Amino acid sequence: MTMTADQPKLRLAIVGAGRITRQSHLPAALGHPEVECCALVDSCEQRSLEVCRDLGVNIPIATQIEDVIEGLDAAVIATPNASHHQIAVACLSRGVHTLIEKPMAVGVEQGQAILLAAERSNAVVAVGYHMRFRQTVTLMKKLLSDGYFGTIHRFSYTFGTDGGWSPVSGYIMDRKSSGGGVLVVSGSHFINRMLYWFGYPSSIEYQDDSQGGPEANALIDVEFSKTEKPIRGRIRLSKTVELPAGFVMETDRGIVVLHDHKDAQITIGESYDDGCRIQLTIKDGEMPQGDEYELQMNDFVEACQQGRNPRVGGSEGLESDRFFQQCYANRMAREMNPFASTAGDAK
Amino acid sequence: MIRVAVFGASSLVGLTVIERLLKKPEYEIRPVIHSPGNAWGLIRQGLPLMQADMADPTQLAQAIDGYTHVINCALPQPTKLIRNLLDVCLHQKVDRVVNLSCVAVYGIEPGAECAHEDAPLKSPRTSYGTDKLKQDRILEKYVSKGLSCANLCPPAIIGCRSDYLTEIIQHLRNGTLALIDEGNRPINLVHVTNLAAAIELALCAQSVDGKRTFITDAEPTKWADLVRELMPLADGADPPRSIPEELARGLCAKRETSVSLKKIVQSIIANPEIKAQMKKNPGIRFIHRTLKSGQQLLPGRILDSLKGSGISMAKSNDNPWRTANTCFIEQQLQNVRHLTDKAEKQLNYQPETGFAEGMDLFRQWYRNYTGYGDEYWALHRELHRTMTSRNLVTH
Repeated sequence: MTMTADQPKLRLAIVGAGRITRQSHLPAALGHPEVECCALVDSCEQRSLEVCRDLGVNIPIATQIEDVIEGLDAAVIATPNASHHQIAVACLSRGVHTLIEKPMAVGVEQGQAILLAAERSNAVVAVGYHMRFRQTVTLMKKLLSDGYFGTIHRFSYTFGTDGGWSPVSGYIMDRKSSGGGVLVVSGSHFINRMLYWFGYPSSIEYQDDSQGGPEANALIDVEFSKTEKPIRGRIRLSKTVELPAGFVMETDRGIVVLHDHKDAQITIGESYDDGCRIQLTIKDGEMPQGDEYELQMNDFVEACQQGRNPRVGGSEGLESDRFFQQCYANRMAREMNPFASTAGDAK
Repeated sequence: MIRVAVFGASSLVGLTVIERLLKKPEYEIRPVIHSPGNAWGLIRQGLPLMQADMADPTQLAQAIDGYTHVINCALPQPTKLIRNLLDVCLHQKVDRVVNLSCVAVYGIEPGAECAHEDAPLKSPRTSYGTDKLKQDRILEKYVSKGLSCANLCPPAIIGCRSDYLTEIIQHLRNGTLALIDEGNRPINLVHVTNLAAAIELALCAQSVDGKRTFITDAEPTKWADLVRELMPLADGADPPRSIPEELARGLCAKRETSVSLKKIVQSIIANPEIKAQMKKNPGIRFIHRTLKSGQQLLPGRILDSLKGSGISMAKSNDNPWRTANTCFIEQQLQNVRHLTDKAEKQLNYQPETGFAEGMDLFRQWYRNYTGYGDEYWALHRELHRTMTSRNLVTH
């Protein structure tokens, strides 16, 4: 479905009335001049009512997508991860464009089914890796592609909080519902960026501290062998230990640092030295700036209207899902796993 | 079968006691959490968790229904919430409640008489100590109504995942830990496994009195001992400096009179009753968010103290102790060792984990979970360093 400028507003439903909808998706949709929010869908009606009340809006409420799907052009799917697949396929098979919160699906098979449904109906699939709308992410891709840094030797990414995001439904407590732990819940944003920057790794080694539930700590070693000299990387993720959030890369040109907050800039400095760091920025006006969720909504709406690919499409979402699946399938044996022996010290 | 509901299950103590009891077939455990966001240590184990808001007696009753024993490891709650919990325990005829108090109730400078639990109490002079003291008094009222309660009173808790230890490491690295008497003052510590063992003993003890019972480690540890054990994790930092006692007292006295704004803002933000109201009232939520964001507008000195990095005694940058952490100085000024005679007699308490063994386990845990010292640590350190970097030029 391709829309033209004189067509009516994009009729959008938001599926899932949890925290991310309340804080980000719904405000972004309400603020878009070419979007009509025509339904808020959640299996818990009370949750939808509370969101509407708190935001002071009056949006029709439904408890299942099938009740409103006929009148829709597009849908944002922000439900527990394991339900993305079913809702997305229901929407896409009726030609309803979808913006799916990350991860796109739980496992490659579900992701492929989503892409197939989109291909058949020629509908747009976008995946909610909102950090991809940061200027620095695009700039880093350009600098890497242009060979600005010379040879890349290795990189490290860490992210760790002592607790954090608490979804309204509590779905993160159940591995079946979340599809994984810290890797999927927090690490997925960097994994998506890493795949965008470096491509898919030739080797992945994965360890975590799961004892049956979603993992709270994960350690991933990757290697990319497309370049003359392989690039090695280590990703450390935690939901129990505070770690600085950011990306550091050792290159011929120096140590490249990109902290993990929206105002951070790419800097280069002398190797392990307190010397001056150079800050790399994009020229003003070269890329749109603003709230990442608003930019994501703009991109999605434009993609629907123009029939073009969104910035983060289903194929990229599938690559991320493939990475998660490969990690979990190749989890290192317990005796090799540093998390296994010292998860706690209870006797 | 002893059926135990553990409140504050996601806390360090809650998690450790649950891990301990799960290994024993005579216990059936129900971990109760406030919200899943902070419960990853439990979530990863795939345990069935129960969410309950202590402000809601109905949810509390459901959480305790069918359980004969209750452990309360939750952070200090407003008096209403602890009353809610004890009301439900009394109503449902729970056999035993084990509550956690804290040595902070004896104030920031307890006298030598505080080696024993029955020492006369002064004003705790900290919000944490005051809240714990209120909680203790409420508990005693319920004991008089017939509820069987044990009230364990630990000092600083160490062990794997201990925030207390990771905070000291950070101050060692930053050079903001100062030692009085070259670290020869006593430090009261309890290894979390020892506290968990004491909680188990208290669950089953024949007789408990609901009054505070010190639970500490056996060894007479000094600050210098702790620093020695943590220096291998200090990333090459110099050993902490010694501070004269008089100067240390001056720093702490100044702190007490200079942070009223901090205390006001912090207490409003942290108040669980306000948090509970926020869920229901968008107006209060707006005020709460405004206050939180308003913290960023505070002067840097106060902001530093809000982040727990200590308060400067003087405005002059020439003062070498300007950045010294006053919380740890206050703890050194306490200069008392809390004894466990009562716990040994009443609970048959004997610490299981020695200081050296516990610290060895901690260092291993710290390396594995933070990557300290691994092949990527140099890159990791760069990330730390550039977090505060000011020497940037635009290119």
